[in-house]
Amino acid sequence: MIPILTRVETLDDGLFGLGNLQREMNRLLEGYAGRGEDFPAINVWSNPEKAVITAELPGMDPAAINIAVQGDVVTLSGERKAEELDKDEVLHRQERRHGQFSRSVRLPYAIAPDKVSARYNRGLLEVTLPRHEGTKPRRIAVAGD
Amino acid sequence: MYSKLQPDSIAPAVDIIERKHERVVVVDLPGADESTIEVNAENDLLTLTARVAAQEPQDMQVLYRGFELRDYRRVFTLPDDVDRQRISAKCKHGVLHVTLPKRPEAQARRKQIKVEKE
Repeated sequence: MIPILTRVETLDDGLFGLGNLQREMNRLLEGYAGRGEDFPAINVWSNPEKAVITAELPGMDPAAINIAVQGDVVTLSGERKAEELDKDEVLHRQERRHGQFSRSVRLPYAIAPDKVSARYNRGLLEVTLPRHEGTKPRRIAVAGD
Repeated sequence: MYSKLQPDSIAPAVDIIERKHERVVVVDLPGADESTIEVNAENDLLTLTARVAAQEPQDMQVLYRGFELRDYRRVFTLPDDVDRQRISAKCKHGVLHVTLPKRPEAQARRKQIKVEKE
């Protein structure tokens, strides 16, 4: 199905582009990807055994992504490089976020740091964080007479 | 070509760089299946689409949601000076680079016109 209304945009700014303000408003109204204040955008899941954090980090060198775990706090950090520009090159738009980033998440329980694993695929980071054994609820057997 | 896209696709974030001989559109497509990325130059429109392939964890409670994985779609008008036959694209780690070379004669046409003094 081809959407009935498709907004067509120009590649170049200047004479034929929309003004900055109008473009910003359109972006807010139409729900652009990467619109959030926080970079990178993340999702967090959990169950009684483990937590999972996913992050939108396209174009990264996986080795340049740092994951630190301390107790129940997980921190993702690194740097996403901007496209390099020569003097005579013009940047018509820059919507993609770049630069240094650091995001911390407090989870409902402490994590076993040595069991954390992460994979990076198609620009998505997925970190699996198993719960620390010592924080799991223990069932206490009640002894009768 | 769009029939398999979700109807509520989102517009990916882009950078657009203009160099002397080309324009480059850099597109963030996190989670997109590279084999489904389509770059289509038809008439005066450049259409970029991709389907998302990443799976979300099953049977887990969502504690925080900062993004949704949805198919991507964005449409631009093609300037006249783009050589449509030489448009190329490559994708790595969820970032698509679309290179739109300018036609040589268009570059020649851009020559500055000298204003003569009377």
